[in-house]
Amino acid sequence: MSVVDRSPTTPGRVIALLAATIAFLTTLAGTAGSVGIGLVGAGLLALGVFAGSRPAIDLGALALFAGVVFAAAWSTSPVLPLVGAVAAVVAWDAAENGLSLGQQLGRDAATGRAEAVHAAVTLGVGLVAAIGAYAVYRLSAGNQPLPALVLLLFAAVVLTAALRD
Amino acid sequence: MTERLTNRWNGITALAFVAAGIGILLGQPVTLLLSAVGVGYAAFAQPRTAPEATVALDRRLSETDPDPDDDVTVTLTVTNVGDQTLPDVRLVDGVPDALGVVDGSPRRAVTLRPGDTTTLTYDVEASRGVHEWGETTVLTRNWSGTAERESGVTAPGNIRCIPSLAQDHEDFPLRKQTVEHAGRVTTDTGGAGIEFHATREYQHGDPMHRIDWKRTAKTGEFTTIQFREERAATVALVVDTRRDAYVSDTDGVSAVEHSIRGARTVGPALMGAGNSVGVAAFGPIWTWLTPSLGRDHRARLRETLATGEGFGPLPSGDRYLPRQTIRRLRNHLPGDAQVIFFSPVADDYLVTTLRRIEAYGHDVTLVSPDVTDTDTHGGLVATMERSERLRAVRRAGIRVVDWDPDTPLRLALQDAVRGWTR
Repeated sequence: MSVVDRSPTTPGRVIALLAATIAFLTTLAGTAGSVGIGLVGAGLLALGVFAGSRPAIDLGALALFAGVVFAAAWSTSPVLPLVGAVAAVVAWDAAENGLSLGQQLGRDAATGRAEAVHAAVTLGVGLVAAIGAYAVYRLSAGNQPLPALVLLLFAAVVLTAALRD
Repeated sequence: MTERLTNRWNGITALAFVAAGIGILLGQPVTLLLSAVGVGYAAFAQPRTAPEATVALDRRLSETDPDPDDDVTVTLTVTNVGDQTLPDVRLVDGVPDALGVVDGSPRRAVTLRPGDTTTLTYDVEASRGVHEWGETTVLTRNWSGTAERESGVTAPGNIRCIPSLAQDHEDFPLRKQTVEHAGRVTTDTGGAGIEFHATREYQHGDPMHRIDWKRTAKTGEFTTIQFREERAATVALVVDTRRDAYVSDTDGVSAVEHSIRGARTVGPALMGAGNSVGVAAFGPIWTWLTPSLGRDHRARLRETLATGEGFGPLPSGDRYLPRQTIRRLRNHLPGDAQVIFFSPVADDYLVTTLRRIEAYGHDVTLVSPDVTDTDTHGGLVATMERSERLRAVRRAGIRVVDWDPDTPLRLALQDAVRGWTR
């Protein structure tokens, strides 16, 4: 009787590494610090998907996101940072999903389509959020003061937090 | 059915806060903007209920009466019969524990829209016994995967694999018998038979063909040749099915499986020689087939060895009750019955048991499949312990057939018989 390999699935690994690479590339627009944090994050995430370690995946994705956030401070256009942020989240989501599928079903199970759909949905949600943010940014750029933008976004954040019980 | 939270998006709101905080501190609108991404995902992760597993299952088996080691193809069709899309369905088919999957996978993840169907195809290798498919585990998650519902869905499916009895009739040497029935166990009593025993003076009524005519011609006296009488025996094939007997060889086949295979060889051989043969499972679940003869009994023997409750392919979860089992065996065994005990002799308890059965007046022969592995240190220790136990069994006057299950039982018998002749 064969033993089932319970490490993260191949589609999960591929999607996670692809998205992590994109997120890392966007940090190149920032300083050496942001690139460093991004690199550590991408490396940790890669380690996590190969070793099947949830903490490594979580920490890696967090560092990757932090790298994108710091790189954004030196960016004048919001497009690249938004892409980077969405890519970091997609990378984490695919990695975690692949990990749970590996644990529940094993690597030899057919999971590709389900993982592709899952990643596409997560990417779609991110794109909608990013496009919304970009629209707000374009509308407010120039004629609206920054604090108004801050308050608007923060209201949204607080609202979401409040909705969660 | 259980529903649980996966906690997978926990902390996404914090991420939004951190991005917003850093943006404000640095006075950078672009950084601030990134918190919108976090907010978007936080909203996405808001729903916390997993959909019901609205699926219908249909299982098809390529064969329901396979021979051992045959591959059976299983086709499990899963259809979403609900009116909502199931974003993430994870399926684990309830393959019977004793069957090994040799090709394909009984597990799959899919997205099923209403009416969508997915098909899992995999091969299992048939092994002895009746195998029933259990519940298929269906895990359904919502779009973001924050909640997961675990359900069990059943679809009928079972295979019956009844190995046939051995065809070649190799004689199994029974111990000397003292009770009257014509058969093939040689005795120390002279009479009709094949093997020469002694001659004695002619007595009125002796059959003509047993008179030693050569001697009559020489001396004029009538003498009668006596042959070793051969008589039928009653034999119980007792298989050790206690948890300890389920030790596996290096290929993962348990000693119980080898023992049962041995019984499938010895049983028909003995019946072919005119002996009554019964079987017993000596373990947590008592199974007994009273010794008998004939075609119907052969079929019963085959069925019992394949599907008898006590002969399960995996150890029973029930507790083994030593006194009760011994008492049952003693009560069921006919007074003159011989016992052929099949056991890997993996514990000292068995040595005592064999001695007791012998002490109750039943001639015992032990057939012991050797599943020890000499390649590991633990295996070497087990090998030594087993030889010591076999020695103890022999000292008690019990015949031992030490059988390497990779070779035919016939060879082990030939070796053993050489050692028995004294």
